[in-house]
Amino acid sequence: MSALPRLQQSKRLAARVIDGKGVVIVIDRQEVHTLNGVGMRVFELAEGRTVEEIAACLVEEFDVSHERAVSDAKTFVEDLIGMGALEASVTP
Amino acid sequence: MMPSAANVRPQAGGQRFLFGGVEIELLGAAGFSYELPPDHARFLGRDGASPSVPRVTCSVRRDPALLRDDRDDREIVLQEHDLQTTGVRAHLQPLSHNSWAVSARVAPGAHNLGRLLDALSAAIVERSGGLLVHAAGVELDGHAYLFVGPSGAGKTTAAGQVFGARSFCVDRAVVMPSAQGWRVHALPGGTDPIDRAPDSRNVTLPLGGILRVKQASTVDAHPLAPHEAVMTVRESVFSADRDEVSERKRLDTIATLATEVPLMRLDSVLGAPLAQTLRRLERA
Repeated sequence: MSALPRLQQSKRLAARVIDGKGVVIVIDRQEVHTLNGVGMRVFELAEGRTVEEIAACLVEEFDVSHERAVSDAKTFVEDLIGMGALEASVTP
Repeated sequence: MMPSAANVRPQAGGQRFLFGGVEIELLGAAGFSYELPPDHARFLGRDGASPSVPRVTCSVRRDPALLRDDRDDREIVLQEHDLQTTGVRAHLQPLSHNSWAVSARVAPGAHNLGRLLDALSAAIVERSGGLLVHAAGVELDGHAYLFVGPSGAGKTTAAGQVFGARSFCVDRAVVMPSAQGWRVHALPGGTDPIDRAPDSRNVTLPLGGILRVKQASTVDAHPLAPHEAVMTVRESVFSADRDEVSERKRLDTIATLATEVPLMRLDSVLGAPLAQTLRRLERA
């Protein structure tokens, strides 16, 4: 059975919560992104976790089913990886 | 006395002036004799600034080998203590929290001395907690107002519609915190002059506000949400130093700026006067 990718925030970024919204700067691309409250929470939870573990946290914190949490977390994590804010690594 | 283009040249005795919020003393090596380009002369301020102004003592020597430089014209890169831009290489040595000794090599040609000043200002401003902003600016009632937005947003056009104002800067400005609040220092640059407005006689002014220009059907100004304000300013800021610590410090600086200075979305209509909108902003 293959291990799930474990996520970590890119070291080459700056992020800050401002009035409940996240502002994320991806340094090497010189891109600025804003995340809503849930998006910023996923970004924070991602450090050292898998998508499944993030979804489990979301189920506890928000009124959302496990299936929906997994689906939303997976989609959003892919977006964050695409923008260079997260990195995924498979560790045994 | 404010130096002019005719008499600003590095010399053994040193030439000291304010440029882009930084007090710079240029010391030329023997035989170094070229002048500052005229488009920089308007933006030189008087020396004897407050002790909080960052200071640089810069020795300059000519290096013809840098004529072969093929770097991008505008890009300024600061890595640790080494500063690079087209035709310029410099090493920055911190002496205290707000003073530096700099050793610079500059390709022959007056414009390269101008590039050295641009790069020094950008680097020292960043290290001193300020921001180098891509903006068109006007002076109105003793304050500077900066128009920001992406290329084509209408920054220069909006600046030209503040009738009764003076042109403060066309392309770039430095925004610095001070004991008296946020101040703006005009910089040279830009090729599209603000029509109808005479040049400001000041190179440093209190910051009245930052306006993100959008074309609209009616003129109005709306406060940006805090995260929008931070995003708007960051998208308009040049960054020479791209390490993580500097980027986080820059983000903190912008977040502070956004709580202390009006940051608005300006709905602009081509040709419509904007001075009253700015004055309302100041009163608010």
